[in-house]
Amino acid sequence: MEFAAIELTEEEAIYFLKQLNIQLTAIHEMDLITEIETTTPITTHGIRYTTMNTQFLREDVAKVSSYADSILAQMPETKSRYVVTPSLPLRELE
Amino acid sequence: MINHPCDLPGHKLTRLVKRKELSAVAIVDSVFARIKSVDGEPGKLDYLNLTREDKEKVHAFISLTEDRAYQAAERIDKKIEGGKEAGPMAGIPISVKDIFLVKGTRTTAGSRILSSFVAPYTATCVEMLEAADAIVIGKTNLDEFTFGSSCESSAFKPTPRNPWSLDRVPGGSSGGSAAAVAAGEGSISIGSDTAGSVRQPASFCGVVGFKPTYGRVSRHGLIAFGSSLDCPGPISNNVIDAAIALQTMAGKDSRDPTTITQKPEDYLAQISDGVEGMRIGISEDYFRIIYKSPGSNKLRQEPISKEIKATVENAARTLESLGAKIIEVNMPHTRYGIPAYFVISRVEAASNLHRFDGVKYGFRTEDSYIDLNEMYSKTRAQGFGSQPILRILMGMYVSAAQYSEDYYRKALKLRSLIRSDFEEVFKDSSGPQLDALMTPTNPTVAFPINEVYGDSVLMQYADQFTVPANHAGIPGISIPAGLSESKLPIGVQLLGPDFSEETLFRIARAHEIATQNDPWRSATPPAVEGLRS
Repeated sequence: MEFAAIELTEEEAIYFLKQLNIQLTAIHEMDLITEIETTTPITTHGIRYTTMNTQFLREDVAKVSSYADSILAQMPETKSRYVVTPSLPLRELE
Repeated sequence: MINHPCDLPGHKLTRLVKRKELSAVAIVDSVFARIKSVDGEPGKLDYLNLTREDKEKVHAFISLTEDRAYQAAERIDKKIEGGKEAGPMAGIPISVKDIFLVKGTRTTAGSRILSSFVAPYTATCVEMLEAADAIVIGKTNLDEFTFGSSCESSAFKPTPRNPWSLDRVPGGSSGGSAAAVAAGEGSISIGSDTAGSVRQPASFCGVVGFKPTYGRVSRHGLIAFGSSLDCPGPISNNVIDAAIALQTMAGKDSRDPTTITQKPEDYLAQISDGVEGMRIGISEDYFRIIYKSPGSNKLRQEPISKEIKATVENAARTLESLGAKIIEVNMPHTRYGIPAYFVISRVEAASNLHRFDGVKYGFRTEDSYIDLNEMYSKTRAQGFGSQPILRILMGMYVSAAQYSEDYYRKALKLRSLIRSDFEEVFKDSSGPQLDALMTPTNPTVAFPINEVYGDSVLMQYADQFTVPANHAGIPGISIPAGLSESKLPIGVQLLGPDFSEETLFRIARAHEIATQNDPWRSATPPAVEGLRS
């Protein structure tokens, strides 16, 4: 829960655990497939990106955003156009 | 005098507006009158007790943009009065799934965590539609962050209902969009499709839904779910409207580097040229479903319902009578689409959802907290509903270092095998060289509200026939093809090779023309009974 950064009640935890286990059963259907080998390539987007259809990277040039005020106005807490966060937890360094 | 412009096809509205036979303002009047008649309360937070009247309305929308719509309509009418050229979508009323940013509008993703977020800019695809003089009338309800197939997971209640049967779901996650179009609340709606979220609700609501090739339409301004799977796409009452909308939305966007540079074809030039000589596949692998039995963990394999199979076969016969050749093919990895999706989509969702933390925007807990971590935990627990939480937990589990090889990498390899199924049957292969594959869109018709919700696995299997296209990145369209015995719409799906949008529209249009006099075409959704002229 710490990595997910979500606080759950015991009742919620029971429901989520049950659903996750059922989902894992469905996921384990992947084990039935025999054609997957170490040489099988992975696919990350479905379509194939080639030099013929891929955009060149943009030049890394800073631009002034016109959205800044609107974004800042919606932040839960700001001070002098900086984001204010609650204090960081103190931890002993090992 | 045109009584109900909201029921006319969008492309006809543009023609009438450009000829000055109908004003854009009159169209907007008609659409908002329809919304007032059929839609009821818009979705809102903490609305727990539905009244009897609530259960008799569609509830497609979370918010309406009346000022924006009337300002756009007046601008279009003025332009035409002044003899200026109006855009190719002049006067067409469109709604936008509330997962897209539209500047100045509340953009909620159907979630409490974004319930008061106002978009600072407009998504590229919506910007392109408005530049073509389409009129945005409102934002439609959806499953929270698009996580679902029924709209029931939205934090904004009442959730949308199916205009064909108000006690059934409209599908999801673009269920509000499909319901709105079916009820005449706008000619076109823009949805997003990660596993079938445009095609499945389109099928449930008896309308057309198009998922383009991945990279064909910009995702800039679309709140991300599964970034390698998400595709914006149109939902409409007819094939031509979907083609016009996609033509407008398609193209390279420097703000989304995954959009491809290849120019889109002209989807309308040959849309009515028929299917003579085309090769269209059907596969037994799309006529059986594998699902988890309610109440047990066992997976069962069963044939789909006879009436859905018969509808697909009937549509194939229709195309055959028009000169297409129907060819049976094998698609052996179809059944693994959902298990692989459970892994890939959860990993991507968990990553994308980490930005919602109560610091930069959106909801922050009002409870006390001692430090940043506690604020994160409380904010996310209170801001997210159960579906985002499930996706975060599963995504983090299957991508953990010790499990990644067993789950994530295996799912990505499976994705390659699903893609190879298509490559082996489509054009330019050494196989059957299909122009398209025809399948059922869904294994079932629209199911009753509350019947499936809460069972996250059974709900996911509603996407069994649509998710392969998202894994493979290929385009797909769902078209209405008949009604069940219980008078619920049945959709048929056409899938094609990368960038075959033009061919899919052509096949879909041929089917639409050939079936225009079929009795099911004249049926009206009960929610709008008596309201159409």
